[in-house]
Amino acid sequence: MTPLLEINRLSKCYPGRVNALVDVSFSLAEGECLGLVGESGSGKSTLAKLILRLETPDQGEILLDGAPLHALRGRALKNARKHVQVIFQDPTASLNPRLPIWKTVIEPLENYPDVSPSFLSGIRHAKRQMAAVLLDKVGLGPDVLDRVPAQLSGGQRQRVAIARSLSLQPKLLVCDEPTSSLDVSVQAQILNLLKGLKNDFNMSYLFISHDIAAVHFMSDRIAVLKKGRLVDVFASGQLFETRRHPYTRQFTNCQPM
Amino acid sequence: MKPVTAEGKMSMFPNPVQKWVRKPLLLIGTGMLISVLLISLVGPFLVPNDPLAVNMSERLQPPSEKYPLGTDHMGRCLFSRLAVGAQTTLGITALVIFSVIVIGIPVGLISGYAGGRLDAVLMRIVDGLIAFPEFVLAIAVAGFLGPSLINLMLSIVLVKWVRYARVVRGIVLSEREKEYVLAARVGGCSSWKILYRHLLPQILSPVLVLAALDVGTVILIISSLSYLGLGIQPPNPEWGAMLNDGRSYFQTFPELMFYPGSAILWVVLACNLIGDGLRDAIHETDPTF
Repeated sequence: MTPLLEINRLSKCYPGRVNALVDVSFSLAEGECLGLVGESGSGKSTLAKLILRLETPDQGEILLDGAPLHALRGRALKNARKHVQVIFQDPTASLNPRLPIWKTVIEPLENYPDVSPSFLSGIRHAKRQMAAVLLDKVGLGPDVLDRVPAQLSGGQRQRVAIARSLSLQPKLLVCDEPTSSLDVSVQAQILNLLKGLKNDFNMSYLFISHDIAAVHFMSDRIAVLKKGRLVDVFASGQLFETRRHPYTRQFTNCQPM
Repeated sequence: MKPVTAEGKMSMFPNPVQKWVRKPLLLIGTGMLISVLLISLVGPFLVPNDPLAVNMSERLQPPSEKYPLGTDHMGRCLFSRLAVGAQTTLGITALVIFSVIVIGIPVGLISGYAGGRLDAVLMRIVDGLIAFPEFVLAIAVAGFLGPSLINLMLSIVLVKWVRYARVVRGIVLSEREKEYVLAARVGGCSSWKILYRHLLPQILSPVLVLAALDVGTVILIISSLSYLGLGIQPPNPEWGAMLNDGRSYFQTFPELMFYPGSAILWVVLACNLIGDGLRDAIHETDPTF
């Protein structure tokens, strides 16, 4: 069986800077959550941008369901994109400050009129109703429909961003540090929400964070990135074993679990 | 999660009318501009005399019941000429500003968003035009094309659109890497949709401020070119042309230059007050601007 996402020897170098990503390979099975940890500048976000095709790799392959995502262009790329959606770190930056919430949430559905997720069957033509259903999935009431992002709290904004990422019922959700800009009390709520949604929607996650505790809580497997290279990949339960890479053990030693 | 009430937050976002009223200078500027706009709209129907009628037996008259501001060196009613001239000056200005925005915004948007070679070519053209002092370039172009209304407008548009393209491109360059634009791309938005739905609204307020501040300079350029004989042709009334007409009588009848000069001052001041006020008002709600 082919994995949902397969990364083969991926490299990316930004001009004038050190290599952002060197020879990275891993795979992600359907329904799996792969945690990706690493310090700032280790290439985590570069990897996310490559998988989202916001950047193109210098070398290597990104296979989504066996199809070469890294080589797609135009209409084929647009068609592949609906299977991979994203939650960014800062929900204040990832929502258009001038659009009312309901328009933001259903924007992907407007772009893909042919996509008809099962949880929206019967109301696919009613935009506000779809937005209300999506917001309900992330625990927000219909009272936020007509607000703008500035009228919501940080946690509410991140829930809106999650609702938008769910709207196309993607196979893979890239979570790029989804909790690191939130209050500690809100972080746990968002993590629980993401964990519940993963089961409800049968999605795979690439969960990127520098918070090893959050990654341990969310993931089935954990990959460790250091200076653009993948140094360690292991099942989540083996995090505290002594044979872990020294760099991984630095992470577990310096953070309260 | 702490509840956020819509009402509680609304006080931080006063509606535009409230904001307008709270800025006295903005309010004064708006009032001044509205008064001129009213005169230019209603004036031509209410003026006491034909602005073009020459009456050599009544030249250089002091203000009287028949001539509220007196007459010029050809016996034409100064008040009537000022009122009708307002329409010419403001009309051309509005058309120029509109054309400049219509050219500058798309060029800036496309240049900033597409990047690469297209951006390089467009920005070198902009650099080339910015390198000349805009007034000198406008004189050169208007002189080259010959004196007429259309050429006057063409020359001003040619020197003015580049600054708009620059400003718009700068904003697009900083906005297009923001996460809401990236999220829109991941969500399947086409480049066009990102441009008009996500980026265009971000540039409208800065462009509005730029346009309000530019109204003053455009009026000055129109008047200056008319003063030099490159703009509105006699006998049509226009403020800059009237200044030019009054020049030879400056020592004996300075009011021939004083009235059109004051009219220009009035409108330019009004537009600068509005532009500055708008910039402050936007800065309050969006400190990044």
